[in-house]
Amino acid sequence: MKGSLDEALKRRLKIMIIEECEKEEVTPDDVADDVQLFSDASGLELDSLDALQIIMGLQIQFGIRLEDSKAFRRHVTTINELADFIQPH
Amino acid sequence: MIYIHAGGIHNSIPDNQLPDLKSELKALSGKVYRRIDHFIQLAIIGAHKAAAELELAPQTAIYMTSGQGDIMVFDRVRRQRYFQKMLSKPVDFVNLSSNSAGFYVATHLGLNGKNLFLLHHHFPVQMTLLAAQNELNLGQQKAILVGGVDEWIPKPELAKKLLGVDEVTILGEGSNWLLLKAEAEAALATFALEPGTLNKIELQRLLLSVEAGTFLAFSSRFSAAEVAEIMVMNKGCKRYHYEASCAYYETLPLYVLNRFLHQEQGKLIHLDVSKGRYMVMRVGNNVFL
Repeated sequence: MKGSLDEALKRRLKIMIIEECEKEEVTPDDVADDVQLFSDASGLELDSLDALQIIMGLQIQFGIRLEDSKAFRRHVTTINELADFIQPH
Repeated sequence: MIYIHAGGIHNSIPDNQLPDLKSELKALSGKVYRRIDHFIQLAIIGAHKAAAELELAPQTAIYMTSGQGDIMVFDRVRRQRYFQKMLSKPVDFVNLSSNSAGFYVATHLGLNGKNLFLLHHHFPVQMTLLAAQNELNLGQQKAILVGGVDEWIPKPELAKKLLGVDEVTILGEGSNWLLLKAEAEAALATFALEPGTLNKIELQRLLLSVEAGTFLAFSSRFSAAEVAEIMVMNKGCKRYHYEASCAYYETLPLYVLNRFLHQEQGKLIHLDVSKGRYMVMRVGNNVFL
C-alpha cells in the first residue's frame, strides 16, 4: 500500500515528529497530511534544529537515511509525501 | 570575608521513577522550554528558586558544578555512538557540551556575566566555591550564583560506579544554589572555605579553635566511627543532622549549607573527606542578629 494511503504509518510519522521536536502541545490530529511541515500553515513552528532531529528520528524509527539537505527538502515536505517516500508501494 | 545573599533548594529522593521536572519547571517559571533534558531542567529549577525574589545584576556570574554531569544524555550518546554506531541526536550533542546547562540558566535569569561549569569528583562543591571565593576576594566578580546539580538516573548502577559509592547507597538528586557577594549589606550569612585540604591532625587542630555551640555537619563519606570520634573530641560542638532528608549525590554539601541557613541560627562547619584529606566550609547566620 502506498504510504499516503496508510493511516497507521502517517500517524507514526506524526508522533515521531511531535516527539523528536518536543511539541507536546500538538496532537497527531493537529498535523494535516497535505500541509508543508516547515511552513507557517502547519502550526508546528519547526526550525533547522528540528530538521536534524527529524532526520535522526527517521533513521532510528524507520531505518531511512537521508544523506544530505537536498534529500531532506525533497522528501520531508508533507506527511503524505514523506509517507510515500518511506513506503512507495 | 564573603557573604551569602540568597539560597535555593531543590532536593528529592526519586522512588524508582524519574521526576517530571518539565511540568514543575513550567509551573514554577511559567515558561515552556524545548530541547532541554532532565539535568538542565534541574539546574534551572534550583537557580530559579535561589533568584526568585531577587533582582540580579545582569553581570552576575554563574559557577555551576556537578559530580557526574549530564549522565543520562552522556550514557545515551555513548550507546548510540559506540554500540549502535550512530551519530548522536543534535539536541543531545548540544546539551552534552559542558556549559549548556549554565547557558540555559543564564538565559532563564537574564544574566550575561561569566559562566563556568566545573565537573569534579571528590570535592566538586568546595572547588567551585573556592573559585568563587577567590574571584570575589580579588574583586574580579561582584556577585556569583554558585550551583551544584546532580541528577538521579533510572539505572543507578552506572552512577554508583562513576561516583565510587557502594551498591546499597541510595541516590538522590538535587539542584542547590547560593548567591555570593563580597559585600555584607543585606546578606543572610557569612561564608568561608579553608582554601587547602587538611590532614587529620590539622583538622583536629582547627576544630579545637571552634567556639562552643557551633554545629558540625559531616558529609556522607565519613564513617559512623569517624563522626563519633570527632564529636567526642569536640564536645562543645553540636552535630547538625540533615541525613534523613536526602539521599546521596555528590553536590550534597550545597544542600546542607542551604538547609542550615533555612532552618537554623548559628554557625555551621561542614566537613568533607576524600582519600584521607579534609575540606572545611563555614557559614554563620547569627552574625547579623
